[in-house]
Amino acid sequence: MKLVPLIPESKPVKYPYYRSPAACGFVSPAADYLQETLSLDQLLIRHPAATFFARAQGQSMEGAGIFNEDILIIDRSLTPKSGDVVIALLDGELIVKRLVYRGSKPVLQSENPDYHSIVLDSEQNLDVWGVVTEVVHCLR
Amino acid sequence: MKPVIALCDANAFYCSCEQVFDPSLRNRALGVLSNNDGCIISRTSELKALGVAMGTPAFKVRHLLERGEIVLRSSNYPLYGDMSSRFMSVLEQFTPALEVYSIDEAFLDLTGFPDEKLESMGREMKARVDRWTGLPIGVGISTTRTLAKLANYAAKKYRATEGVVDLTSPERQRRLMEITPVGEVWGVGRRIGKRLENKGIHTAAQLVDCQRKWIRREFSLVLERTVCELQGESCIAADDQGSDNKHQIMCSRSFGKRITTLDELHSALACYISRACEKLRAQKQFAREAILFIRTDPFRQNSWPMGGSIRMALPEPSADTRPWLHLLRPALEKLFHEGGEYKKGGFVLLDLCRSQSFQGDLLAIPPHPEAPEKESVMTVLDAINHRFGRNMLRPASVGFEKQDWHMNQQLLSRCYTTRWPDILRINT
Repeated sequence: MKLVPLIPESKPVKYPYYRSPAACGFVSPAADYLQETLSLDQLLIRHPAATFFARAQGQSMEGAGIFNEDILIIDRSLTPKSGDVVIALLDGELIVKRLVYRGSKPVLQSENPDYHSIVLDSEQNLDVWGVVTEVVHCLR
Repeated sequence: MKPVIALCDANAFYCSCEQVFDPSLRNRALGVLSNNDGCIISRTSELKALGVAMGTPAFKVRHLLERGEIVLRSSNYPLYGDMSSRFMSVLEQFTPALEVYSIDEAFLDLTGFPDEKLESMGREMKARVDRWTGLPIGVGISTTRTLAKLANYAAKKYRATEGVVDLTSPERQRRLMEITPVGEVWGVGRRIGKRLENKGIHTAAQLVDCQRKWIRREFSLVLERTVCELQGESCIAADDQGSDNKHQIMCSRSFGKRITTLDELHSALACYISRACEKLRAQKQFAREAILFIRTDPFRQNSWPMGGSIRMALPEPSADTRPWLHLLRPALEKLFHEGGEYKKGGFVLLDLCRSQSFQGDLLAIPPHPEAPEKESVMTVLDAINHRFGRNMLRPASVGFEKQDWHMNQQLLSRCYTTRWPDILRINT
């Protein structure tokens, strides 16, 4: 039996666009164009201090592209506006719904015909925890 | 130019962190316990209203817990460390001259901003920290640190202020000092407060009227500085960090230049660790928990703000520098990102205790310099548990049944912001 040392991988692996091989002679002309690596954080997170993650539970938002166990990226710094998918506080519990307005009444709308929406009496009863900006969905 | 200093601090910080992620805890009498679930170290106003004092041992409130009148949580330092670094980043948007004073408070230098803007700026700070992080804060603004602390005290004490007090005008300073007990002044404390009262000094206003020489002769140079500060003369330097804080020791500052390599970062933070541990030993205390953080310059153009904090823990309380230095490199390797230009870093020792006696942890293997293989075993174990869930890997002697053997954290919430398996779960 051979024992393989297990080295904990603590950092995300990064792939540079191009890395000059350690060759003798001339420096690669491409070395000047070496770029920063791509980071998903840079793509998906605009306000790191205000960004939180959560895992969605349930089917009621499938029409918005949010499936059970998907990861939600939530930006608390944004002001919620009509049409945003939001995390709202309802009866002491956090839920994911689409915020729309019916007249002056805020509605927490489900995106699945099998589920109903929640109409709030007034703006005062609306308590938004954060705005969902992206969804991470695993395909396998 | 007249200096202007703001003190921002979070209300019942540990409790507030818990409430952000568990809304059912809002408006509840909630307390957070020290390590080993010993005593209460953070209280919501509802818990204070029940007459539960700071430092109350957990067993003394067991009856209230069983009746469901109060809720208790074990301290969750990974969560608090992360929320603290978010809080500080939001404040840094207002001025780069930010001095992190402790895990939940910071001094901001607002010198040069027009007087009439200060209060609205304070309100904007409070609103933005609340919106971005969910943490409620108080803001006190004045011309010295001690006066800023006094303003902050008023912001917490008087509801009408809505959490923000601009105390730059001498008339307002005078009026507030007349109604503030001398013991509430920053740097006075209970013992000196008693002695002052014996000499007929009951309010902050009476203290500020004292002759400085007399104060130095009868009390100390330290108290004389406090009087100078109350009179509007800045005497307490940025370096006097945490001198009044018995629950934590902090060593943090901006680097002299932007640091881009892991090695440089390592030596800078090793220095902070040594200093913090020196202070710890000077206070004859021990610590088991610490938070390490690094941050890039948020004002730098074209660069992505990076940084983060990491919680470090020893198997048992220690006053030794070396075990922390052992943990430093792996911690930095986790936090450091290539390409980052780091501007600031810090090390905070938390949950200090007076003695080393501690209910031993079943798993505790004391880090031994002579036994490096033991340590690397622990490192891999921790890394695996970090990735796949706490206690996923444990010695067979602990048993295979799921059990609550980790007695000292019975009421622990999840690490919502620092471990993927722990993130919030939200129903659609």
